[in-house]
Amino acid sequence: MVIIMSGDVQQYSVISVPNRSDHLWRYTSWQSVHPTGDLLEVPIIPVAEIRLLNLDGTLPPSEVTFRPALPQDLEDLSSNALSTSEISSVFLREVAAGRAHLLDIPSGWVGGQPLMIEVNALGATSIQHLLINVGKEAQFELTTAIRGKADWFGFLREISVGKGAIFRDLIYNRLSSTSTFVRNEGVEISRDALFNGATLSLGGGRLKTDLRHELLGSGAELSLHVGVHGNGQRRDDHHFVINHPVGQNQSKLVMHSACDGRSKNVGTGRLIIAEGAQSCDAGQVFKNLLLSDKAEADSIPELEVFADDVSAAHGAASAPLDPEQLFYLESRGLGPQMAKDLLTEGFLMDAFTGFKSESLVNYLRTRLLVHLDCDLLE
Amino acid sequence: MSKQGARDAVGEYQYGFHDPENATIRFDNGLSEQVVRDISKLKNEPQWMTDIRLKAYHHYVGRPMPDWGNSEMLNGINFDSVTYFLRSSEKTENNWDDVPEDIKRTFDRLGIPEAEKKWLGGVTAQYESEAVYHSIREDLEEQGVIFLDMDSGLREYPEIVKKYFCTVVPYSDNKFSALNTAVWSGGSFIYVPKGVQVEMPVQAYFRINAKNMGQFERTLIIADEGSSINYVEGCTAPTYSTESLHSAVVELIAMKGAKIRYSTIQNWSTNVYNLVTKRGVANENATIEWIDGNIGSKLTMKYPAVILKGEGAHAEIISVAYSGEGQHQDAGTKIHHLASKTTSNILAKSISKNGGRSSYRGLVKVAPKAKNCKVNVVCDALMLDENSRSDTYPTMEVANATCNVTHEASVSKVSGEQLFYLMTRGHSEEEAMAMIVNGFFEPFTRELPMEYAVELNRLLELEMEGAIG
Repeated sequence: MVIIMSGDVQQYSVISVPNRSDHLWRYTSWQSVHPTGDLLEVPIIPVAEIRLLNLDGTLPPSEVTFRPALPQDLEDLSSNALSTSEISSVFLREVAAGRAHLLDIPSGWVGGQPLMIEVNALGATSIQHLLINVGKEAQFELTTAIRGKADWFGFLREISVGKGAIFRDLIYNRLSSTSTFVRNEGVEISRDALFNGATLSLGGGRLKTDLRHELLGSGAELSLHVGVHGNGQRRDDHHFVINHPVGQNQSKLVMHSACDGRSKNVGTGRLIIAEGAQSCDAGQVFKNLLLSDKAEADSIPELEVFADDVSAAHGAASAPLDPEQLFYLESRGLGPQMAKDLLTEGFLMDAFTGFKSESLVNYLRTRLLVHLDCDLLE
Repeated sequence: MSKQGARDAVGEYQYGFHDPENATIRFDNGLSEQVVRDISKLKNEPQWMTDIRLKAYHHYVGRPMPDWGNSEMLNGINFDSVTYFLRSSEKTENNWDDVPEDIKRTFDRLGIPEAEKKWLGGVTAQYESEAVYHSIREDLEEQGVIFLDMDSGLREYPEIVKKYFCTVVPYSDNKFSALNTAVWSGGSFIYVPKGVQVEMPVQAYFRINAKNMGQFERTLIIADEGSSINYVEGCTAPTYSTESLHSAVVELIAMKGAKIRYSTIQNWSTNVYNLVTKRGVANENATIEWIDGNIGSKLTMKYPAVILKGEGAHAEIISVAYSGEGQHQDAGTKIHHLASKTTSNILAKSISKNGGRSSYRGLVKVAPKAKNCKVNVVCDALMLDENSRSDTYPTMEVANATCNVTHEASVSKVSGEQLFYLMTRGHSEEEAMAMIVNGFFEPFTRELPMEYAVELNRLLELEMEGAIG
């Protein structure tokens, strides 16, 4: 079944398979993350379980709407930030086949405690398509916890942040270590709105994440924070596109990857400041902590700047644990593994310094500690 | 220096003049297997070289154009309109008086003989496809330094050339290295014996004079153990309405403890496509330095590379690019850390003005077995108006946990505070802008021989004309 969202969206069947010269697919091929390996196929895939709660497990407030999306919702909230010809987005749309969920936050609503969406990826393959509409001047916080043992899970999110709204959004992934996870996201940020996003990526065995953001109005602000822990054979490939089509807005991306075992961790960021988009302030920082001789970290922070009165910068660094810090901790009685875990925790949590939600930062710190201390992942 | 002073000194692209074409041999435009065979036959080359040329030709024909970079400009090259070989002089002279009068006049205007007398250890002057003049100081020759044009190098030292040719840049590396290997002509061949330090720089000067000319020089520099050499190259071409192609390959081999510094001021006219492959291999404790300035050409795609193969090897790359109207300087660097305790330091600076586009495209790769490596990459870009464009595409692939790799890049405009400060000291806005730009490029110019640095500053001052308002 093929669902075409608008006249401009190409069909999966007519898109040629990208090669390594394609910016997005340089390190992780489409073949390696396709659910069946048969690239001509758009398989029928069941929808993952999804539910909305408050972070403390109680029922969400009645002002918030959470329901299966209608065709009109799909049309209204189809994100322009997502490329209409990019193979994985088009594929996820076609696989979801219109079976999306809508989270609608009314204009002016100010949330109390954070909301939580639980996604449970069951069965061999699983898909979830989520639309989030944040009304004008609304303020709220959301965490999405992704769990499950599906061999393949596809997650497509299309988010619209209304004028003057503030949306703090955390994605916490602790899929099974054997899962392949394809995540695509398009976020449109309106004038004077703030999108403060965070991702803690701990689960899954092979991950391909494509996050695209458009700052559509002056005064819009994007602040993205990503922490990745690579261990075992994990392959985590994060790709970001941050587009400043108009001036007087700002974006920041911070990604910290702790690379252990035989993991491979990739961060690719493309920052585009369009012609005439003056007075933008944009920056990207990629940091990799190298914990193992067998691990690999690749960072590709890219800038494309067409306007002169802007501040655009990026930085990247890869380094091992500081032996002096290890020595200090061990001299205080910590074992080598505990010292290493403590420094890893500190390094990963540092990525979330600009994520201004105390309750969500506490939540992700707990998840990270559980992950590092108890190794609960299967 | 004032604007008028700069204009008096260099004129508007002062190297845009051209002489009448007095070719002794000029091939028809376009490339075929026969052209490749004819070039090889004309030079009376050994069979192994002809064979490599033919393999490269077939690889070139079968290989598609790169689908990255400025595809629009690349696909605009009409390879059938290019002249692949043009001989201007029957032989390479080593006495300046014997060089044909018109060519001599050209190089006199470029200041080559004067520079040779003052501060060079040797000179090769290439006009179109082949060297027309060559000299080396006697004391260097006595120490066993070989400095020849590449054609003579192949004739006189075939065993050395055969041993190293295509080992650093194989013909199959990319489409343009294949093209160069198929039709190469001219370039420099240098061998520095063990322990010999060549104190004075040696220089090669490349000049395209004819319309639709393709220049495909091939340079091979081998610095034996503990030796050092400083090689400087410059290049210019006349300004024609039709386009010319320059596609060189440079291979550097620094043996244990050797040091090679390769400095380039690329100042082709803006009708030249400059598609160059430059790469060096640094063995144990060796150092390779690329000092690379790109000011001219329509499109430059050049990424000087160093393969750090031996423990303790070091690479230093300083690259600057200036892009004006209609220009795209797609420059960058590639460093492969294959051995432990290798270090590299990269500084790339670019300026875009009048709709020009500057791109930094870089790769730092640390192999799994390369322990305790250190890498530092800094890219700075200045945008002088809102019509220009600046990109950075750095890639860092680190596969060893004991390495320290850092990268930082920024794009900005000239600081209003700096301009204001200089203007309060009595400079016009234009002079202040030129001073800031010269200061921005200072880490590059201070590494150049004095005469080059002065010339570069003058060129930049001239290019900055009209940058305000």
